[in-house]
Amino acid sequence: MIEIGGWNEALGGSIIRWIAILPLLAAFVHGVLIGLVRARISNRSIWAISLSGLVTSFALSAISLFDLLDVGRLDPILDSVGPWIGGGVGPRSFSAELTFQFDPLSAVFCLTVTATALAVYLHTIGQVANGVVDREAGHRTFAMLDLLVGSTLVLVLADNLLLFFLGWAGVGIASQLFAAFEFDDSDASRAGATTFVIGRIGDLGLLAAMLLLFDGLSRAGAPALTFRGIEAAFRLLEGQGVLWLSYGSGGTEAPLLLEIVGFGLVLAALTKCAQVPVHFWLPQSTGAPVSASALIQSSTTVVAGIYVLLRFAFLLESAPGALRGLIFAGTATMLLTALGAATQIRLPRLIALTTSSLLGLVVLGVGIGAYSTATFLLLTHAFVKTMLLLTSGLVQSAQKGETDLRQMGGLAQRLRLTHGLYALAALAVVGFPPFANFFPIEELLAFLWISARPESDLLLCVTFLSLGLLAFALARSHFLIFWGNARPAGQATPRLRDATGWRLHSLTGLAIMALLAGGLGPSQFWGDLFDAPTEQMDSVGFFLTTAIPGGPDPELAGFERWTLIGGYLVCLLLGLTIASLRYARQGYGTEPKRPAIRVATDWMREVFYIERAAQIFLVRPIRWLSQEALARGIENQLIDRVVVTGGSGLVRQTVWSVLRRLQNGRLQSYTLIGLLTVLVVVTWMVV
Amino acid sequence: MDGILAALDGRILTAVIALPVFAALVLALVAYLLDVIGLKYLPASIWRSVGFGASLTTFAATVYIALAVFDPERLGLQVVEVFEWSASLGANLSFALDGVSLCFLVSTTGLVPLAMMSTRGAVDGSARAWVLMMLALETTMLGAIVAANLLTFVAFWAASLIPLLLWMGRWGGLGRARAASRIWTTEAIGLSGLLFVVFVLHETTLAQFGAPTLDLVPTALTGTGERTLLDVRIELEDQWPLLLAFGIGLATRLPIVPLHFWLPAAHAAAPTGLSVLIATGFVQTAAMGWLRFALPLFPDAATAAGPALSLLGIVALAYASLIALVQEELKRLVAYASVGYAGFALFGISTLNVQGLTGAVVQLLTHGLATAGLFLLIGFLAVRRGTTEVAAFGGLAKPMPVCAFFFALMVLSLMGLPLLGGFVGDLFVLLGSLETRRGLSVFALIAMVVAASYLLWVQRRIFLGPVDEPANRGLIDLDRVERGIMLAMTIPIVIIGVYPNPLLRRIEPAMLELLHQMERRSVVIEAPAEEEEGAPVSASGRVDLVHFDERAAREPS
Repeated sequence: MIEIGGWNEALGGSIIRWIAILPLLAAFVHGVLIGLVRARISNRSIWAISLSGLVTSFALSAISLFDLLDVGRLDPILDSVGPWIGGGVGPRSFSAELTFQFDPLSAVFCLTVTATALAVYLHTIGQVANGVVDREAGHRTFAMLDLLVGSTLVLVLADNLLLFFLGWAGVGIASQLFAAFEFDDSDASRAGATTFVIGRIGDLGLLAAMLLLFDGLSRAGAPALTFRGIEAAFRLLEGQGVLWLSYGSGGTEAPLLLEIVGFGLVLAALTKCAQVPVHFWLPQSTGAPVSASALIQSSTTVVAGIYVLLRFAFLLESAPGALRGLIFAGTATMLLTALGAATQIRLPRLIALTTSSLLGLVVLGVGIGAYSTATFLLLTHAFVKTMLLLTSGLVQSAQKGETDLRQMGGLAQRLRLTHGLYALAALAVVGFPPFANFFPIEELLAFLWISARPESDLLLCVTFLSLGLLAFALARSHFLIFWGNARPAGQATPRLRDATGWRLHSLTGLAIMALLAGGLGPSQFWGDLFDAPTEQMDSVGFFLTTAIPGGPDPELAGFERWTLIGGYLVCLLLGLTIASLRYARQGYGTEPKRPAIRVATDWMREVFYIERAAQIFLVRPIRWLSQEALARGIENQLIDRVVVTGGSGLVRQTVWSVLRRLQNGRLQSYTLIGLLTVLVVVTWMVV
Repeated sequence: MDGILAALDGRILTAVIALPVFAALVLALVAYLLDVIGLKYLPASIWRSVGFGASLTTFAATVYIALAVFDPERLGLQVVEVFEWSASLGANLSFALDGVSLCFLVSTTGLVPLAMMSTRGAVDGSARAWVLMMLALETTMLGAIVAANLLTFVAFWAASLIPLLLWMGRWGGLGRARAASRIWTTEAIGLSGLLFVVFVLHETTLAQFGAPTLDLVPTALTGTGERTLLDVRIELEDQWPLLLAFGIGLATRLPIVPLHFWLPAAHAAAPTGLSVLIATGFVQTAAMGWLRFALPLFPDAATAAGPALSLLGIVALAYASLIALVQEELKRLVAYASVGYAGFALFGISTLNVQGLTGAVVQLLTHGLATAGLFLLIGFLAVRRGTTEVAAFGGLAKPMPVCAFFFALMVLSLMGLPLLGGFVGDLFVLLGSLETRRGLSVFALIAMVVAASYLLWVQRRIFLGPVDEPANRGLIDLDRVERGIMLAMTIPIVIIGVYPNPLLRRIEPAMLELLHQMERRSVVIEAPAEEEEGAPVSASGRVDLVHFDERAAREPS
């Protein structure tokens, strides 16, 4: 057993589990109250249940982080509750334990998740207190938020595959519940179904990867379920040059199983991160409460997707095909969804598409091996995206739920504070220096620059273009909401005021993070400018070195680096300028007249109709097959009519025709039958 | 209490099986005597409460057996009870328990009281016969589940048809005559297959041992000494027709595509309580037939037919799921779901390894519970709305949130969400199939994951969206009794999902014993273990990693 020391030891080595269990416990209590008992409890009790769980989780994460740093070598803290599922005999037997592992990677995500969740919880409390959200919806929101946060924490703290899958499934269910939050609305229920189906595809990928990996390892004689065990077995087998995991052929270049496992993991990650071609659940599910969207898009659901890639980074590096797929999907997502965001007219969809686009960048970062930088970007992105979404929620509630950008305008005079917060959040999201996202994005660009991939130039260009488009999209939304003339929808609510109370305080906290989070881990390039020592500068990167492969910093400095930063800034400024020229004064204007442009705009707005294509080419054929071919053709016609009805009819007719002939009423034939019977019986007895 | 236990020593299993029908017969006798002496009939309420009490006592007794009598550490059959029936036929009334039959026993006895409670008030006119039929069905199903003699098994198997058909014919809904005739036809076909095997094995044991025996446990009642049915030698070419006949018999009830056509009709017409029992105990008798008789008796044919059976199972799962996708009537939809899961269970059974077999049993148990739960909920909806057409509902989560909650729970368990029972079975079946049916396991995974989508689709259409029908607006949510029933259904699903090890520890030894029997009885000479085609490690590449210790690897150096 490793020494854990510090608070963890003082508390009996069992505080890691409570980080994950407490929010789940709160979710369970809420679930029983809502679903089973139908009890109405006061708002304060609801908040007490949820907040006590979350705050304790946050505090325990922070304590454990200090313990982790105390240990010095950053060895993971393990907390084993006991055996969970096990079975089988011989080499294929397995025993999954309920063990939680707190290593640097888990630590980063634990703190990010609980901190952003804290802001979101406080914001939601403000919403309920201000009457923006009613009590019943508030209760459901808190129940699902607890489920979402707790599942995410299980996922990041899991020590083995099964526990990981438990967290994964919980996150999926919570996302689906949120997508269908307004369940009496048919759009929302459709969005819930979409989210579910996409999530199910991701589950399929992850389950296949997990099972095949376990199978491959146990066939090679090293069955392992825990992440560390798998990595150790992997290294062992690799070190011995075993052609494990290759199916049959024994060739040197075809670790087919690894590729399949890699593709499973990539598929799973793409679904949770809302990447092309399975991105469309995210824009659809924006009917969820804003606070839920804020968590889903910042630090829970999307984190699950990236986290699975980071955990299996060692494995993905041996699966070049899967990595190529990952890079391609990330790049395509970045560009396509940025185009979608730039032309979007619904505010929540616009923000959801920017999330997809930025996550495309994170995915690309993982694909080219910049693991700690991708983690860093995910961290800063979590704070700034939460802030952006919550601020957009303020705008929407000021507009009485109106989400159409064309119906907005001129809010700057009345919502001064919101105006400033939105501007700050938008700038931080696109990474305008010196705000949070600037440092990781700049670092990723440097990684792309030095990446040995043949297509890295193309990737770099696409990234620049996408960042410019994102800057354009967010600036456009900002101008359309706050500048120009007030629209009728705005005038209908005469007493518009900035939010107060917890709704504001939570945003203040997030604004501080948006300003400062970039300072958690800028690369050493910036440290050299100020003669800072190595480890103090990129604290996140160095903290993570023991947990994930790859160095923390790109080896790129001097003129090339400055060129990259310059190019990046030019793209941002171009986006901002074009948006301001087009939208700052005259508002949205009219839809484009020329048919070619209109068609192009529609295609971009709908992200090239990927969802409709999936509907036409996948869903409809399956339904047709079920309805016409199987249900009508085989089941009704063949089995029901021909075999059952026809068959029994045939039997009935045959039997009747024989019986009819026997029962003919003629005495002679009866006598004959009787005689024959006697003959047979006598013969039987004699012989 | 001690006195009762002492009196039942060596007969407790039989007592449990007989208790329901015994209570029913006593009631009938009392009623008849009262009638003879000119008093009025016993009121229906007494029939119902005595019936309910009897089924509850049966459940309590099985729980007692499970906790105090059954020894999970022991391999092989235990709690063996043999009574003479017909020595010349080699047929005794033999009952015995292993882990699998124990699980099915507890689940079935637990569901009967719930099924009784679920039909309160619906059958007042004829409650006497109704109680009689339900208790008789319980006894016959339990008998088939714990039978340790082939003829006992077949006798209880056939006997369970009588109360089933009477129940269906008397209290069924629209199309009950059609459903009853379909059940009768398919079961008759299946029964003839089973009887064929009984006759052949009777002759074979007579020829080989000098006396017939159909017992799985050694008993002095037959003249064969220590030798049992499992010691008879059946050549491979004889195993094939026998397995085919027996398999068709079992496949009519499990039910496996294409012999499934009776089930949707039966569920569509059956009253709720009957649907619950068909989805659980009735189907589980067929699984017992596979695990206790078919596989150990015909091991070589079963092993050779394994891949084909696996394929059949997967095709059945995919086929039934796709058909369920377009069903417009709730009961038929859930019926097709259970056809699909029966296919998946067959897939698990045909993997012929411990994990796959264990998974199949867990899956039959939990998916049985979940589908039974869905049937109950559909029954509750039908009582309120008078219809089970999907199109008649919509947006019910608003007026009936508790119903929506339980429906979602059952669906999530069927989909294999971790922490709910369905996950455990699915996981084990897939793990097992990776060992012996790796090619098919990928299709199994896809079919399993995609299969759930129709459940989501129907849940969305029933519970989500706006409340369009005015009739749905004022629906009353589940009342206390109904909530209690659903809670009782949910608790085992959650317990199995959260901590499945106690259950697995009881099932696995039985499966190990089964595989051991199959190996022992194999008449095919064991060829030296060949490297399976497509094995991951080439001969030169195999390394000695047997001692690889995951735990040691986890500890940082």
